[in-house]
Amino acid sequence: MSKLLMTGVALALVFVWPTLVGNAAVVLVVGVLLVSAGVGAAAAKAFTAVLLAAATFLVVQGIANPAGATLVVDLGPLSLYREGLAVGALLALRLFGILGAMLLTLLTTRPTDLVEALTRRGLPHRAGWVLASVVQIIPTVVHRYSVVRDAQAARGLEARGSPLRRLRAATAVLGPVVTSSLVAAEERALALEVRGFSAEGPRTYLREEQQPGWAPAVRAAAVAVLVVAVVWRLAG
Amino acid sequence: MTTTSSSRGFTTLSLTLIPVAVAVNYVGGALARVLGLPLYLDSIGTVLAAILAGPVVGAAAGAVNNVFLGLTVDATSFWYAITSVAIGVVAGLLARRGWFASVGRAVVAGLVIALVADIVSTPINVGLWEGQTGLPAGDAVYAALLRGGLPVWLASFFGELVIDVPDKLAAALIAFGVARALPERLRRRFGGPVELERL
Repeated sequence: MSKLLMTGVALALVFVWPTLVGNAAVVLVVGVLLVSAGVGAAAAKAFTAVLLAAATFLVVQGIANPAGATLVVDLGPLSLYREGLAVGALLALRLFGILGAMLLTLLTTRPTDLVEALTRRGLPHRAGWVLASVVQIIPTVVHRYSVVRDAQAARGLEARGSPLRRLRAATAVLGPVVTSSLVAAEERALALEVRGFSAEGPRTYLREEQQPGWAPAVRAAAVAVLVVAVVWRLAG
Repeated sequence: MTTTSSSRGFTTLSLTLIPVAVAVNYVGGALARVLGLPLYLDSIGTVLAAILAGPVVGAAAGAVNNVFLGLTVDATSFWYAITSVAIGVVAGLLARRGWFASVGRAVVAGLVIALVADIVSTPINVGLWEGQTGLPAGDAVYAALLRGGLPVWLASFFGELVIDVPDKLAAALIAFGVARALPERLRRRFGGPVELERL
């Protein structure tokens, strides 16, 4: 939960401190935390994935933002203006800030642990099951999909041609996938019912929750940082 | 097997439908690439769940989909969860009123869903990224309109529309086709409309 709090604070800071310097600072701090947690490589991958979007923010705002007045690069109708570029840069940093803040929790926590922590604190256990099961069900369905796709291709399914034909091809592949997935869902529902899924009442947990000793301190620090930032902002 | 209903109205069966919907959404993207369609096709599952089990389940499927994607693959999806919820609700309501009973009606349904998705996404786009869609085609339209003097939210709306109409239309048609191809027993089991073909 401390991690969630840190993520929440970082997200809030991105918006409470909406200047180039502010957002850059948040991104930097988050980046340092990510690297020190040992997930630098995975984080880098996530950041490169949004590089294109960040670039489009820069370019599109640079060209089209109505506040643009100072010419930076003259390309006729595609000229870049300083004010637009500044806005674009801010948007790009905001994107990185939001992404980094979320990665802080996501890359350092196993999904099932996260779900368990939330369930302990009040998330209905059936909702928790839905979230946790998605992780397990997707690979199964993806496998079914590739099997059906290959099978249909072997039967001469046309994957090219008019849009209508392609839509029909999509249906031809998804039909069997959905049918078998729904049958499996039926069985799953039965198995859950047999195990008391819909029964009301308190649940017991397999593992004991462990809170590291520094958790309260980190939480206090995170809240303190946010409070300081908000106060500073309000004070002008 | 009895389907016990909770106070919230979700049967265990409908809950098991939700992860399947998310998985189908996920597969949709891969399918689009294989078929060479420049679309996302990441809402087929949501629409299908809505057709089969109604607007509430559709909404839940949409929410879970974006929350899950946002927490694993693409952090920005998280913030568009409400768009997926809207898609699920609208698709479910339309399905209840028989708007997925034929191809022609499914087309209309797809257009309505696209419109709603756009309306819901635009404030999020504007709030997060000054209205940009994050995609080349949409942003090109957005930029052109912005230069033409349109207010940000209108430019954003039309930019997003260019993306949403083909995508949601295709999703609605595919979901319709898949629902129609399902064995009647399954359709009935999950609570959806049994009559999907006007003869």
